[in-house]
Parts: sequence; C-alpha cells; structure tokens
Amino acid sequence: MIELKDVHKSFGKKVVLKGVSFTAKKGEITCLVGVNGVGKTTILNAIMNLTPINAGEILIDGEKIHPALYNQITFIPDLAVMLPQMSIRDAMEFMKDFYHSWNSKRADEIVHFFRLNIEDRIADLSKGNQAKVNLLMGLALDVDYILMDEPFSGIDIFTREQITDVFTSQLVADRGVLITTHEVHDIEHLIDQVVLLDEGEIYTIFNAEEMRETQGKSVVDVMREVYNK
Amino acid sequence: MKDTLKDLLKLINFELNRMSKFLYGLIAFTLISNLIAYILLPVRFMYQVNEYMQINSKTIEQAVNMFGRYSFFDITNSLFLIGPIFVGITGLFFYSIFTWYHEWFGKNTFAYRLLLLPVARMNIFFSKLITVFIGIFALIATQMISLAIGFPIVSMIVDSNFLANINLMEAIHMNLTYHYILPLNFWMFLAINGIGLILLILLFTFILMERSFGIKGIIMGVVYAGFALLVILFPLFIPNILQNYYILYHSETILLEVLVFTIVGIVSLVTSRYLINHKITV
Repeated sequence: MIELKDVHKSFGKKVVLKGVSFTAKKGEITCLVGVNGVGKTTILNAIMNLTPINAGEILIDGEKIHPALYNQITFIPDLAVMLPQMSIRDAMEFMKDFYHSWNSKRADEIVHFFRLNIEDRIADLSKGNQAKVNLLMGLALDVDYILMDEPFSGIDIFTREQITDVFTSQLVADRGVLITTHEVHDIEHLIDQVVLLDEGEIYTIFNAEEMRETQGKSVVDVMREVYNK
Repeated sequence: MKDTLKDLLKLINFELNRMSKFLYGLIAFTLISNLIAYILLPVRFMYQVNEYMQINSKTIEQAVNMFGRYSFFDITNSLFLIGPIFVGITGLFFYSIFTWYHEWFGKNTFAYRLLLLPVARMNIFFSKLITVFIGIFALIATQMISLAIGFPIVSMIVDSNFLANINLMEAIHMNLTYHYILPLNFWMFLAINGIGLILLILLFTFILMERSFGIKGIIMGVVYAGFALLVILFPLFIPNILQNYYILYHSETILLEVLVFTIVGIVSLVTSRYLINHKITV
C-alpha cells in the first residue's frame, strides 16, 4: 500500500500540496485527477523521492522509500527519460543490467504488443512511440506498484487505445496503479478509486463504480461539479 | 557490499561509454598536436641552421654558437605540447560540470532514470567522480606515451652535432607544467591528485546544492566553496596571522594541509550524500 500522510510541499512561496493524505492499494487502479497545476505530478515525484516534501510522510508497504524499493515500485513519467542516442534494445539492456525485477520475457511481450522495433533509436521515435517505450521500461519490471504520469498526453487516438488496452491486460494485473490523467474518460471504467485534488488539497476520494451506481455520475461529472463551482 | 561495488562498476562503465567520444577527441587532439611538434619544430630548426650555414658559409661550430643546441626541452616548452595539456584540463573541468547538467538539460531528462535506479545514489556521484579521474589519467598516460615516442623522433631529425645532451626525464622536468603533471616523487603525485580529487568533490557538492535549492543553492555553494578555500589556505597564512611569532616547519604545513584537505573532502562528501538522497529535485 502506498500511504501519503499529511504531505505538504511548497516551491518557494507557492504552496502546492496542503496536507494531502490518501492510500493507493495493491491490485487497484487509483486515479489522481485535477486541473493543471493542482499538484498531481508533484505527488508522484514526491512518492519516488524525486522532489523533497516539506512535511508529512510517504510510505510504501510501511517503509520510507529507499533505493532497493525501486525494484518494487516504478514510475512512468510523461516525458522521454532514456538517453536519445540509445536504441530500444540498448535501453532494455540498461534496465536489465540495473533492475533485478526486470522481466525479459514480459519486455519482449510488450515490444510485440506495441509493435516496436527494438533497433530504433529513442531520439528518432514519435511522441506516441516514446510513450510506449516509457511504458515498456515501467511495465516490464516485476513490481508491486506502478506510477504513471499522464500516459495519454499528446498522443494520437490509436496509440491511446493501445495504451488503454494495457490496463485490461495482464500487464497491470494484481499491481497497484497510481495514475494521473486529464483523459480520464478513456480509462474511467477501469478506475477503482478516484482522488480529486483542488488547490493543493484533497477535495474528495470516491470509488468510481459506486459513484456511477449510486449517484449516476461519471468521474468527469464530479470534476465538472468541483471545477465549475 | 558486493552488490554496491558491482553497481558502482556498472555505472562507471556506463559513464565511461558516455564520455568516450569526448575523451578520444582530447586524446587525438593531444597526439596530433604533439606529433606536429615532434616533426615540425626540429625540421624547422634544422632548416634554419642549414640555411644559415649554406648562405653564410659557416661551420657547424659557428652555427651552434649562433643557434645553440637543440633539446627536447624546446619541444616540451612549445605551445604544441603545453596547449593540449591546458585544453585537456579545461575540457575535463567543463565535462565535470556537464556530466551533471546533461542529465537534466539534455534532449531527454535522464536524471529521472538515473535517480530511480535501485542503487545507492552516492554510487552515481562516485561513478561520475571516478570517470572524470579516469579521463585525467588517460590524458596523463597519453602524454607519457607521446613523450616516449617523441624523444627518439626529435633525436633522429636533429643532427647529433646540434643536439643537447639532455635525456628525456631531464627535458620533461625542466618544464614546470610537466613537473606537476608527471611528478617524479610518488608523494608529490599523490598530493597533486589528492588536491584535484578534493577540488572535484567540492565542485560536485556545489552543483548538487544548485540542483537541490536553485538560486539559493548557488549562493550556498559560493559561500561553502569560499569557506572551504579559506580553510584550505589557512595553514599557509598561520605565520603571518601570528606575526611570525610561530613559524611552521615545512613538514608541519604539509601535515596541516593534508588534515584540512581531508576535512574539506569528508564534509563535502557527507553534504553531497545528504543532498543527493534527500534534497535533489528533478
């Protein structure tokens, strides 16, 4: 379980997170939603110790993050993070060299699934294929938790469909997924828990399916109510 | 421990591959520049001597009196040899800065991947440090090999009548730059490289402060580096501060310098460890 307890974060005078607390469980898809600048990416960066928090606590299965835990939790950011001169094959070799949790068989499956050519250089890939490579680097690890930051950002509808398929495949089965996205309608039917952020605070946390069944509202409907108020 | 060492070696290998083109460029530049010096300078000397003797009908002795004897020192003292050394030092200094910043400001933000590796983050620090040092030693080795090749070439080109009786080591150590780059004394070698190592650690600490706190980090880095340099220089000014009431022996000054350099090195490493583990921001 990923636990955030009363997390505060400021960038200079700008307060981004004001006492954010929630949990993301293994085997569930938790979606962080909110308008731009609300602190979604900051939360993911803070969980991965890529940005220090000012106060509060973040625990992964009861432990504070440390390097060995990067074999159990992975982060798929919304920008290319492998060296541009690397080929996809080089990038896979790099990951295999450093991560005990790298699963070569699964990596090959994902390459096939996304129809990637492993000889292609990262620098020459389209934005969509770069997003797929990011997913490849994250999903081929045998980890308990996957953090994804805007996986659908700036990519075409067909690639988006392919990426959406990932969520219904075995690739994320039994894992805890924490995702931020503006394209929430693409994966709405797959989300378990929604954490809605507003002005650096948690506005509400709800179960997407329950919300649909009891109040007949989609996640986007709830977002409209909050942000149009 | 074994895994940590293995991770460090993998990272060093990775960093070396990234630096290789730049390093090969510096090595090639050094070798080409040196080779030009080994051939061009003695040939030009012999041409001037022969021309002087032919036009003025002078003897060898008269030519020697006019031009003096040619030695390998004339080569080691030339811009063709000193130039690449300073280009190498400057190049590696800028590479030391570049090795951090290209992780953030390159085409892709590789800092994400690097900081998310399941290895102790100080391994990243040490791999960059060791890689720069391997670069330094590679350039020193290039100079040594080049000089060993150059000496017989020059001896072959210059007529023995005009060749000064100076051996390779003498020619090298008559030059102050080589005296420091290729010291004959092991302790001198250790001291020079030790100073280089501490200064490099200090530079890395400065960079990590900037990467952690932005503009505030630059101010912190300037204050920290200034204070560290003050501490380092302090033993040299003790006699002046004490108005020559107590004059330090040479050995005492060296001992004090070793002590302060060690302290600055340890404090910088501890600070860097804290910053890279807890404060660095992508």
